[in-house]
Amino acid sequence: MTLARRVREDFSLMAILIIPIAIAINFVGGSLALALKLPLYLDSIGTFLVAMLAGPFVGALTGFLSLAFVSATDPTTLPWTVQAAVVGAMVGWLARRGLLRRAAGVVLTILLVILVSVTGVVLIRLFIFGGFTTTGSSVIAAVMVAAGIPMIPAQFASSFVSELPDKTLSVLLALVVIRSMSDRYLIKFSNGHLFTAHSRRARRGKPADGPADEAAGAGALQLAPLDGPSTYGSYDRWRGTRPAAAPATTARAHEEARR
Amino acid sequence: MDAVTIENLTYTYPQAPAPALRDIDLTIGAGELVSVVGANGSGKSSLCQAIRGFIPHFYGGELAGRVVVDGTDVAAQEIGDLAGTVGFVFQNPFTQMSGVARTVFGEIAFGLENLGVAPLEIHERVERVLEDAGLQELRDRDPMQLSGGQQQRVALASVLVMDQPVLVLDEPTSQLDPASTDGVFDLVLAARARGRTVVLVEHKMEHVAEFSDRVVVMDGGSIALNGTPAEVFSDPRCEALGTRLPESMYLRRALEPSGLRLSPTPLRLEDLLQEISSGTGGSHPTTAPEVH
Amino acid sequence: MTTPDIPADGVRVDAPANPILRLNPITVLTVLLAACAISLFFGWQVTLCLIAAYLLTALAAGRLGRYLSLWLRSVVLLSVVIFALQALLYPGETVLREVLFLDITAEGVDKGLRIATMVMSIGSALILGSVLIDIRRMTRALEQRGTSPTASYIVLSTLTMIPQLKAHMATIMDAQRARGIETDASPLVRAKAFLPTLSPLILNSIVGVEERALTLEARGFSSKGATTSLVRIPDTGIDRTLRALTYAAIVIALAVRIWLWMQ
Repeated sequence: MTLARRVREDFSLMAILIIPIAIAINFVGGSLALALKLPLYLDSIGTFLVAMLAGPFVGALTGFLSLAFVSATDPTTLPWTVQAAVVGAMVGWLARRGLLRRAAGVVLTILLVILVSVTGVVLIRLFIFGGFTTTGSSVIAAVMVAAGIPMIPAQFASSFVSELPDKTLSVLLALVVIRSMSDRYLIKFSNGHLFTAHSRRARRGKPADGPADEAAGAGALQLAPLDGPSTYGSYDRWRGTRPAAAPATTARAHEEARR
Repeated sequence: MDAVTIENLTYTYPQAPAPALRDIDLTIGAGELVSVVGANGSGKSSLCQAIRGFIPHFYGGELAGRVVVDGTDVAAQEIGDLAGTVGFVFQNPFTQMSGVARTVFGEIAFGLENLGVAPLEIHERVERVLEDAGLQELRDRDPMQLSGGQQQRVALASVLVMDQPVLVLDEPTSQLDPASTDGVFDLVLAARARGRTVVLVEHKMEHVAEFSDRVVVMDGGSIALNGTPAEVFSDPRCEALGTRLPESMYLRRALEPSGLRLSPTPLRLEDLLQEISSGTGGSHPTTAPEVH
Repeated sequence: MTTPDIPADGVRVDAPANPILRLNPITVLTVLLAACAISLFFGWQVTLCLIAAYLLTALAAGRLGRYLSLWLRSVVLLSVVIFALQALLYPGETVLREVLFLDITAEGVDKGLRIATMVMSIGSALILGSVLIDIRRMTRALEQRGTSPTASYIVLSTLTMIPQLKAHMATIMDAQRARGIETDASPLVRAKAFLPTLSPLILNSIVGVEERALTLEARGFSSKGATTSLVRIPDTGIDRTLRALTYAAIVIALAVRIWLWMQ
């Protein structure tokens, strides 16, 4: 599938509508963490959620827009839009690879997210702001540098301390929310089929339930007859819905779900 | 030409163990008001979705058979292009607010803007709907701040203004109080009077009995009964399928042992009482003329 | 405000009284981005002049109070902090003064000044943008220029959703407070109290997305073909002139910079 096609498929109406909600979740999380004076940001839960469900492009856009809205009132946060986009893209890409279906994969994802976030923070702080900003972790870095610790270790250490709990919690929270979403809802997103209870059962090797799966098996081996049921893929407002287009797509979709 | 023709429709939601709609055959003439009733899970909502094309375009899944609305095959159309053919209203008032309009006026105009209607015509049509729906006082209010009943009226107005030949309403009054319910029904009947075909899923049997041209009872994904309200509600199978009957039917049943002969119509309670009182020769307090 | 007086072609022209606010948002954005770029070409003196211009513009538009409130708390604060910390902590050699156990170095002052100027240049311009530009007007103006209605929808819907979700969260928080979560207990206790409220909130808002998708489809959101709008953002001669002057200014500034650099 071409890139353009992939992007258009990711940006189904459901994905587009969930972006504002995700951004709002980021805002609410952020202000909640502030109100409760927690040493966390909690402003990327929405981004991760959307990235896991709809892939890297939607995740990147959500991250970017989220920070863009913040910079509407505080332009000094503008550089962080790029970081949020990169992290969103990465989570989406990892999710698409199926990494988040296994506990080991989740741990790896969290580590990668922390690594990329910390690197991004340090790079932006150093090369754009010269090393110091007004955020809490930057103040810690300043104190460390004043105490004699060299700049780069100080920056990495101080941002690591704040990113570790924040990103771990955010990724886990996003996964918890996805776990409580029904299969019927999940399949409306491009990555959704990876998280369904149906695919979890299939991966554990348990016999899949019922006629739906038998039909899936048959569909994978032969083209559905023209006057039989036409199977439509998950909702995609860009894809034409002529029945002739369906069998090949379904066969692929079922294969992916079985993987 | 019939407004809606459904032939051999069988549909299964993705990853569902069994079909939600089985072998549906249904024809709805232009200008008819057809009410769809049935127990929960009998497939009423799915039928509505199929007429509007949300099944299969939004939900995916496996579809066999044909749905033709206003001469066009639903499966062959894009979901967006059906917006001008079939109007759709569902239960939840809040999620029917688009979320981008700052006033009720803007909310109602939204659909017409999407369809590319000329601005002057938009104004004309929105003003007319505001008048008809009694929403003039709300025209500048923020749609997200309205009460449920008000939002539902706005949602209905926003669809009515688009003037589609077919209107599908999936339990539009289930979250509303009686006053708002009557308001909604007035609007629906006005639309029907203007020639719109209406498919209505409802639980309020008195309204169904009074206003429908036909009633369709669904059970387990198929159509169990299909006929005029009088035919359907007098059919003993109707209640067995889990449908509540209009009040007048229960009264009718209670009066049976007394040997009173009543015609299968009327279904309105007042009309029934009228018939009883004229039949027995006695006067009933609610129907007796004021003269004593 | 919708009134029964309809303009001739049915389209209302969104033109506030104040001439600065009446400008097409794209013009304002163009001018401010150019100002950013130009101030980056030159030193702090130019930046200072531009900031004076921004303050005057904000005053003329009646937005000075809001400008100052946002500007001081974000851009100015950051610049001051950067300047101070760079001056004190940068490992330079030319010590100007000693403060406690730290040295203010000339190199630090230099670097601090450089970065602070950059932050002030870009930040002050962008804050002016955020107080002069109404996001809704901007999305309409962009749509008139040809951006997709979907993009506008995302922006406008976010503007609606953020306060909605915040209000929703506030309700839940009040309920939690009534149940007795302490806001001054240990962070762990506070975290444990709030986490369970976040998940159902998120779930509820996400579940509504499906129905809203149906609503949008029912209103023809996905229909092919042109859309119309009841509101128009004017793009007047003043706008076009301003933009032309801005492009000229960039070219001139660039030329001057190159000329200075070649000296």
